[in-house]
Amino acid sequence: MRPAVLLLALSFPVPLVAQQRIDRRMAVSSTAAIRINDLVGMVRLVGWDRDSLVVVGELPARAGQLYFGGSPDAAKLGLKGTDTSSVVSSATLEVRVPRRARVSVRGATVSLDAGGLEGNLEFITTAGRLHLEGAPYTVTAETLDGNVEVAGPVASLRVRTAGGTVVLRGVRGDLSVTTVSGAILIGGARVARARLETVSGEIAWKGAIERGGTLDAQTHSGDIELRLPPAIGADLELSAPAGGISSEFTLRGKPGAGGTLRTSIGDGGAAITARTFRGRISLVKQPEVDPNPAAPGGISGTSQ
Amino acid sequence: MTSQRPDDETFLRSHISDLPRSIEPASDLWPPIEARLAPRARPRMSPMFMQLAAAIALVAISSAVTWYFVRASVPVVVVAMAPVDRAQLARLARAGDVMEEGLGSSSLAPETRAVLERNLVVIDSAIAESQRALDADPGSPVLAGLLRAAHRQRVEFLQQAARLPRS
Repeated sequence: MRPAVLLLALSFPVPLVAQQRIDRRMAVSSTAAIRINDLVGMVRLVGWDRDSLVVVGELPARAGQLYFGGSPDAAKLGLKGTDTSSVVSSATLEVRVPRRARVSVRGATVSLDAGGLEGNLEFITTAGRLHLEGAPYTVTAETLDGNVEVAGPVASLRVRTAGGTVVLRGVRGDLSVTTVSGAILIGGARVARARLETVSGEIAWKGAIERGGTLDAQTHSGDIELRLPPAIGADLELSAPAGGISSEFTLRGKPGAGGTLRTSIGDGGAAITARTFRGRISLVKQPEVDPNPAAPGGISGTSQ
Repeated sequence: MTSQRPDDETFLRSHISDLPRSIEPASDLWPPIEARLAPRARPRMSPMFMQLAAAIALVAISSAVTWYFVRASVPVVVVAMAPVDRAQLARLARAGDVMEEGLGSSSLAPETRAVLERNLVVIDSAIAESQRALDADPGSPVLAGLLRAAHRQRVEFLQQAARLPRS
């Protein structure tokens, strides 16, 4: 290389590395409260058997600076100084927390891929999405436009989204799902209480309700399809004023005022209520529902 | 105009002695003064303060609405068989309106606001359709329940919007 060219090349500053390497660790208690704020991109949240909090990964320079600290019982991490002029989607962080930790994740654009958790998880985002596998004790997920997918026997699950689709597999216990236009698709469920509510989305349920339990499904303009075990005993209240009701179960009686049909199948026990103004209600016998209660079920045949 | 310097003591004394000891203000003097003072009396708030105030107001409205419904023990699941309660429907509608107004002055990103508005259109359409159906069949508890549910979904959706993280 000519000396002049070499001199010219050396006269320009070397561009700064665009990625920040993150590796932070601290000791926390096994049930610590951990707040994760304003992260961006995809965050993998992993529950592990060590009493420590670890964050590793890479962040683009414009993602801002990571702050990280707290006490063994309450730790906090997040980003500050993020360039909000555009969505930073290329960040990849992995956060490891004690399995039974109580974790709260909030961020406008953060998406979460979580697993191995057994404590409580709260996830609140605007545009992010959630993919969760495992059995946290409680899960609260709120997103405006992102999809929510949960697979595992969560004891208490509350999901709220506007336009996102909600897919749940193998859920147990108490369940509450609310959307505006997003579909609610549930498979392999066995619950004590379930409240499913949407305005224009469809509701597809495949699963069992415990004896004495309740399933309440309501949509204004979507269809409701309930795939239930053939031997289920349930008291039904079905309302479809402008749609209609079809059933593979033998239903005694006819819809009364307002298109409401009240009847029972089997010996009763569970209380099932389904209402849709413009949509249809379908009851389908689903023999293979939940053959293995410990394993997450599937939702094939119930999606749109 | 005199060429005498204003700090000349003789000049000042001669003029001061001509002045009356006191002056009665004109009876119509205060209104124009008040009119000129009024705009300056208003505190000047920075845009950041305005946003903070809007956020606090939104949280307060959201909390008040939540408290109101919790206190009123409104059933949220079993609605189909409840009798038609137009006063309750009106309260729900008003609560949603108040929250929507509060949200309008908060600092949401344009794309977030667009998503909110798109979903509010869906809910408002459901409310309008349920209202028309109830008007045609005023005694229907099923239609009243669906309308009440749509109003409640609007309130809950706006509460969720108030909780959204700001980027």
